Amino acid sequence: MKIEQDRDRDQDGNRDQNRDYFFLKQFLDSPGQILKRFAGTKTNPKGLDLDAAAKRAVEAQLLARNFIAVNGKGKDRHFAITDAGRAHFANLPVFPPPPPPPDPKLKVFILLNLLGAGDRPVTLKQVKAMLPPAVAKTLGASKESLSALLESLVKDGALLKSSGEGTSPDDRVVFRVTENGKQEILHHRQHGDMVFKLSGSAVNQLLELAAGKPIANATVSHCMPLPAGDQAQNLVALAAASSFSDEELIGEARALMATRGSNGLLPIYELRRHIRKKFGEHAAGLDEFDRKLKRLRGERLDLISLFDRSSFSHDQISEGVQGVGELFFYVRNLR
Amino acid sequence: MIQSQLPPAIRENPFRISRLNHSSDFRGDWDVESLNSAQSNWVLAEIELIAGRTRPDPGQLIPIFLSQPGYGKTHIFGRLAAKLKESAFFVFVGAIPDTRRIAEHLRWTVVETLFRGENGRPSPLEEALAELLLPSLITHADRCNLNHDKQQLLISILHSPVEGTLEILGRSTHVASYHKLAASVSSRMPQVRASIVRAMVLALSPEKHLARQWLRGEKLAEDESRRIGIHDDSPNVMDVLNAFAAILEYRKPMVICFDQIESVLKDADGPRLLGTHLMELLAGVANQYLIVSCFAQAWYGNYSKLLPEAFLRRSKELELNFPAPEHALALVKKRLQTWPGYDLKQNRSEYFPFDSEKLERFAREEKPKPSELIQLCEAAMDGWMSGRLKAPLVVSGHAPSEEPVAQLFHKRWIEELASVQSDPKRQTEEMSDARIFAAMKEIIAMVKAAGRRWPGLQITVMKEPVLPSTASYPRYGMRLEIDDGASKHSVTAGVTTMTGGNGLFYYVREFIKTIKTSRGGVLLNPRHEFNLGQVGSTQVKKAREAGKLEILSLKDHRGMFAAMECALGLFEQAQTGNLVLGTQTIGYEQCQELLRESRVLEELAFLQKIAKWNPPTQAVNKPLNAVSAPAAVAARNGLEEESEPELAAI
Repeated sequence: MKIEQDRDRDQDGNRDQNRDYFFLKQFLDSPGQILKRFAGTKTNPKGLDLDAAAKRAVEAQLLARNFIAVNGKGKDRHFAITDAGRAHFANLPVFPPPPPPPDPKLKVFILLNLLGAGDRPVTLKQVKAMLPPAVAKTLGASKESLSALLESLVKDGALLKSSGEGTSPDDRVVFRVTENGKQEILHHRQHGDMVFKLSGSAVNQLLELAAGKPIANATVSHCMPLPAGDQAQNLVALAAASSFSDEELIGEARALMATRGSNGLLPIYELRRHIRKKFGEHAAGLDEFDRKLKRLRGERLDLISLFDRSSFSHDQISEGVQGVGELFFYVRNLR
Repeated sequence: MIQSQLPPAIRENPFRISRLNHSSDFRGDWDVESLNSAQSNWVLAEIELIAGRTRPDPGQLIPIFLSQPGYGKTHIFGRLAAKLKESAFFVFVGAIPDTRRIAEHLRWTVVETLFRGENGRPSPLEEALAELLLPSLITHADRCNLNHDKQQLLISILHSPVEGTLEILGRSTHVASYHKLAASVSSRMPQVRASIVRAMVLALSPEKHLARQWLRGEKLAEDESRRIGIHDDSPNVMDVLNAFAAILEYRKPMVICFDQIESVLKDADGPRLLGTHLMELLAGVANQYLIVSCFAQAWYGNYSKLLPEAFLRRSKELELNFPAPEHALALVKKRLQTWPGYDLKQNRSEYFPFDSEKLERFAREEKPKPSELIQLCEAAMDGWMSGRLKAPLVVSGHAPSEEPVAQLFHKRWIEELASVQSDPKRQTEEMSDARIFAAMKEIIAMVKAAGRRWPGLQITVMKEPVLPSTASYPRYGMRLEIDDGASKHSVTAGVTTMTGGNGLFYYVREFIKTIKTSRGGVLLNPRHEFNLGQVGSTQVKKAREAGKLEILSLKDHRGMFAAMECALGLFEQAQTGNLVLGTQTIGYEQCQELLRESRVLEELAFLQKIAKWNPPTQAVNKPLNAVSAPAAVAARNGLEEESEPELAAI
């Protein structure tokens, strides 16, 4: 009985946090706009149990805790998020929570099969055919997990997704494995029972990648993988399909600046750790977080590199963003 | 085409230079004017406004160029100097060696800039005096009945007013006539200190060097003071600037650029002292414009919190940008256009041998800073010239350097030493005692940091000041505590540029007082000759005979002073992020380590002299020819004891 009560209390606590996140996020998604009606009154996401009474209760609680403020009177009455609200939002878990990372064995199984197709684009129908029921059972995969996996691989820049010319919906979506995807194959073990049909050129590619041979036409190697060719296009796709938006990043950084910033400088390791906690490991990684910051540099924020390293620990420094010949360490001038 | 067989001129990499040490290193044909043009144009417009003002402008702001190393702060100073050309007097003030003597550092830099002509041109002071005196000369000629030769000379002045005027003024060999001229000029400028105007006019006379020494703050001997007819103490920098503004007749603004103001952060009180000094200049000097530059990290970090509030109200932050793709392309094209091999492109792209599309994409996605972009282009171009890479070249990230850092550091040391020896601005004769003392301090700090790893010398404490300074003349010296394992003792080390007179006598007397309580003292005098007088010479002789005093002068130790300036130059570059070896930016501590490991300073004469009082390697007060621990190291390395390893390195 007591265990059930504890579980109920935990669920209630999580639900309250999710409700706070849901409402405050809408203020942050509408910067500069005046919300004349209380945010989110027209929507009711699954799991939040938002009936009219619940909405009024959330509104009252946010007001009482000074997370939102009511300005104006009568027709001019409107709501605005406060600095305390921003800071509270920064510490809330993301709602809805990000999907779990794909199973690595399923991931590399699909990638290696796609590599076997060479430069030829592979339709969604053909990808599905790569996973017959017996194989799916061995890998513990389902149709749903395959769709989620493909989306995830596209987001990570391991696959390039484009439109095909087929008749059925599954024929009109095609995939190609990118350089990132080829590198991924090398980083995970395959399931021991799987069997593959690979051309000699695919095997050669794998051997060259494993030996660390330079990619053709690369004259000067880079300290980090650089986008080129398909990868560069992937960046565009990746930016559009990120698991958290630019606005969210700016909003999180603004909120964090109040508590972790100093003199207008927010250390990147603080922001990265916060993003990791809130949006998951992938969101705080090189593909997502670093590229996003570099892309937004000069447009929505400025980056200041680290020169005097004496005041920081190795861990803090290693969580900076590597630029060309400099390590970005602070975010400033969010706009 | 085999690039490695190209003629030498064509094989010179147009991307070899990626950083400026001084604003005068700026090259207009490499400048991408649209990059950071808003910042430089704002400053130029402000400078235009102050020309002709005879009083300080209470509304004037100090612009602060902010960026991390490699974004072009010094480049912007160079651009401003190039744009202003002869329409302003431009002073570039490098890193400040002593935060307690900021005014003295500025005075030295201003006076040296006044007296130094570039590329065979007259100095700024000579030009200003020529322009000031030209109308009087013409009026005088009108009134006199000149013979044909003199008439012809005057006509030539009309063709070349500055050079012609200087030629006429330089014909007199009698110092007395220059004194007359100086008295006449100073009587027309009652608003400024007469002795300074007199000294500036004497820049045209054979006693120019004494006027220069007095103006920059060196104490003259009595007979030297008599020769220039000035017996006052050296002037303060505000009086020097105001006097020069009057000589310029307030027509040209004086633009003073303080580069790398983060250098004062090593002293906790440095920013406050600098801020206060800049405010005094702003309020006290007419027709002058101040600009500063600082690391963004230092400025936004804690610098601005340490500055006086009044300074922050009178300053304007101007942050430098990274190059947009079009700037990156223009930068590469401009370098290529000045390269003698540019014609090799024939009908190919104007970016040949680079792939412009990939370059543009790299700049768009990675947004590299200018210095880094140039270095990457240099590496790619090197690869192409050596035949390793084929056109079109792709610029991406850094290739890991094949050479070890220690080897690259040694090469850099040799380059820096060559630069010290060829650059007129870095000659020991024209160097302030503050700078030489700063070099001595840096080297001793390195030895101290090395601890027992430095052969024959372990310094545990550096203490300064140990010599009482006067109001006008600082006396540079420090006490070093040395732990030889068996016992602890102290040694004094000092620097003075004085060459004679009472000033030197009192300095030496104070120095000898301090070494009475220590094991000995080493005094550096970076001039060829110095005269202590009879009493002073006797005191020095006694101290030397007692084995307690060593004096090292420029006459016998030119290599030592060059090595000290070289080491200071590298430390300054390390402190400002400008010491880049291969792909690594070398920080201060790493520079200390590399310098120690390179062993190029192990036999530096002043370190050897300090070590000579270090038992048990050698008994105390032994004569100079005894074998010291570093000398033993030198012997192991096959070097002569008295040889200068830094020169041997070349």
